[in-house]
Amino acid sequence: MAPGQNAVAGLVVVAALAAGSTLISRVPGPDEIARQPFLHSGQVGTAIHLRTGEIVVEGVQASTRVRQGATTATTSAHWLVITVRYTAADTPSTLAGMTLESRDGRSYSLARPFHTACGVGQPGVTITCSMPFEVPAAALEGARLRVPAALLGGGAGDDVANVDLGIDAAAATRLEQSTDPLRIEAVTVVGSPGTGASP
Amino acid sequence: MADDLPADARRAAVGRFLGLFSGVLDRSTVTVLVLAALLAGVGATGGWAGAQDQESTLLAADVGAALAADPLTVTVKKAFVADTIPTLAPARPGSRFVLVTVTVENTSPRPVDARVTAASFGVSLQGLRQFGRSVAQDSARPDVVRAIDATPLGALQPGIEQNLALVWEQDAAQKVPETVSVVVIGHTWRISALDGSWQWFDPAPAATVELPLVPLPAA
Repeated sequence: MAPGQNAVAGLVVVAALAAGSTLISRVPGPDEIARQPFLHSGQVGTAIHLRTGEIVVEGVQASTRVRQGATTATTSAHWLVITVRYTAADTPSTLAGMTLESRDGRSYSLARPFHTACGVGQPGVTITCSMPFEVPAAALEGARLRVPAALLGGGAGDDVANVDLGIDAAAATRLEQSTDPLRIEAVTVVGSPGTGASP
Repeated sequence: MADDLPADARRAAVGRFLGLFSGVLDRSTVTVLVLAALLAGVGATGGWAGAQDQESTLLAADVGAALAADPLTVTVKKAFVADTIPTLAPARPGSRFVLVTVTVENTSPRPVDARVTAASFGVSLQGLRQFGRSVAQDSARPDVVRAIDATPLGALQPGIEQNLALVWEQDAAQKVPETVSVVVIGHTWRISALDGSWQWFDPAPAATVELPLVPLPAA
């Protein structure tokens, strides 16, 4: 092979390797695919079935001052309190690792001084939890609640509820103006949906 | 001994030694080995990033200036010293407390927990203590308290400006300095090489603020 042909062949091989490398970097790998959550979308008031149980977001309220048990916390922003009804499926489980996602993609977590998880639900026994997220006003409109089926892994490769909280511009304004102190319970046992029993 | 040999004899001995490898060491192999040794040496001494760090100098910022130190912007405000701080730090025999007030905002799109927040601040004080034990200045982490309601910080949520109190415990036997330097430390959001999780790693001092240390006013 002539020297010129060698150089062309070398360039073609290098170009093919570069193209292959670029293509591979743009294709999700097996680990990335395995970590994709199974999203279950829903709205306020609708039941969403996860691997570990069923959740229903009952509603949202807001304040700048919230009391939960013996703890009172104030914010210069807003406490968006989301009340969730939860019935564990086959084994005792807890709702933890919940995040609030705003329209611009920012995420907000539950944090001290409040409870960061919704108790431990026993199979078939419904509990409700009120969970305060500290958020700026801009995060209210269009916010969504994401609830992983289990804390471990944060929903990677697992069921995740993705709940539209139904906060439009008018609702966001109303929530933004809510400053009356709220008193909430971290966990309340409702009882068995089948029997209607309550504590 | 080789040191006692004349220069000519020493060169001849080296030539005979290298001649043993003449069958396997051509010019390109030697070049590759030299490059490998160079890269290994750079890696062993901290890599190229180390050279970059040594070239950069720590920014000395003014009190009240907004500083960017990922994932936070920080404004260092005041420093106080006291034997006890009401609601925050009860008196502890043999200790005193240094309280630094700051305003911070999480500029990242995700929450920053209290551990990373505490790791974003250092202070130049001798005799620092934590959990009742002496700790090195570099590893002493302050207690972080929200000024608005005096509750321990759980997390800094994105886009919310917070006034915080940073509380360090110091051995009371140490002299109280007239000034204290607060180091603001930035981090990098990257994937862990150990477990694949995304976290804030690689703390690197971003700026230092020197401010007067005054007695905490009585409540």
